[in-house]
Amino acid sequence: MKMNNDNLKALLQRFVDEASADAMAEDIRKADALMDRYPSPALGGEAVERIQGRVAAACAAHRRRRIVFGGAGFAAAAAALVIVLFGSRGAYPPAVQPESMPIVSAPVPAPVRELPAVSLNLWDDAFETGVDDSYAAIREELDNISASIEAVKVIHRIPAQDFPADRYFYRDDVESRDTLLITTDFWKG
Amino acid sequence: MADQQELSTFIKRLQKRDAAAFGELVERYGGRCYGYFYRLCGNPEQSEEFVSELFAKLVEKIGTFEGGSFDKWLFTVASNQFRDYLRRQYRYKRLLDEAAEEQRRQVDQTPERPGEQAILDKLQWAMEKLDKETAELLMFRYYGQMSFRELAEMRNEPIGTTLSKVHRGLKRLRMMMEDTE
Repeated sequence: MKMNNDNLKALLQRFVDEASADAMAEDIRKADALMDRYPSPALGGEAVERIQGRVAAACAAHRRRRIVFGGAGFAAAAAALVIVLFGSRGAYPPAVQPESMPIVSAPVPAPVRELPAVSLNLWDDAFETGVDDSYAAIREELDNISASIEAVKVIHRIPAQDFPADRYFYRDDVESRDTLLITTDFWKG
Repeated sequence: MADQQELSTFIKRLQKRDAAAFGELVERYGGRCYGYFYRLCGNPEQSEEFVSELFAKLVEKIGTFEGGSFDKWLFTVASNQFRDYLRRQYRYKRLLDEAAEEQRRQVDQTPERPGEQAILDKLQWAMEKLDKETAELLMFRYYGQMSFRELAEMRNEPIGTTLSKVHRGLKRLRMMMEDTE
């Protein structure tokens, strides 16, 4: 084994006198030579293949986890973004109507287009179930997110052409627009 | 690895979790890692399991390599893994003493000029006579091929202390081996 004994004597001389440094350096070199003379058993070829197989499986499992966590993170970020963007739009019935303020009726919203619900189960067929122990827990969490998204009813006045079909939400019937109803605590983050 | 550029390219492949790159990593470092674990635990099957666990762990931990000596980083992960194993083994010391006793019995039965396997056992027997900290330090230095400066930095101690511990441990090891030859 190639030992890193560069300038060993010079290093030892920082702490002991020259004669002691010589003796210590010689002790270390002889011991290293002894270890070289009696090497440990070698790792067999079959063992190397077994280890390589396990490592390949670990690489594949790591890539699968990146897909799952990446998808869950993206869905959560998209949900938060839509709530932030569209949650404050629309008219809210005021709790108190001051006398000095004119009462303004909410305008009729523009016709909106019903958008299809988009399944968040983007990765059902991406990999085998039961392989990753965390899959069941992640899947449950994603189902909860999907249910939360379905439960949000958003008031909007966005023309249909400005709201593309590939968004992850669909809007409830506009006739119930007067109330922003959030049935879960999902939006609280 | 002699070439820094080659190492940098290789690390990037590892960080992409390229299975072929990890296969190469096993070929390059598997032998040294096996020797390190074998000298510390003395059991071939356990040593192979350690190596297998180590490289599986490296798939997850490769993202934490931030440059510098790759050998030092890899053997630091190996050292931490072995220490975790020791902490889990409440009866490790008793097993070690039993193994040392068994090794001693085997050594006593060898002829005047022992065969190679008996000599290997003798070195293992001598290793097991050392305290765990010294044994691990010597094997970390030998199989990790680290300088005394790197060793001292990793152990967070003055370089003079590391030098002294290594010298004392190696001298004792050599004396035990020479006494039985």
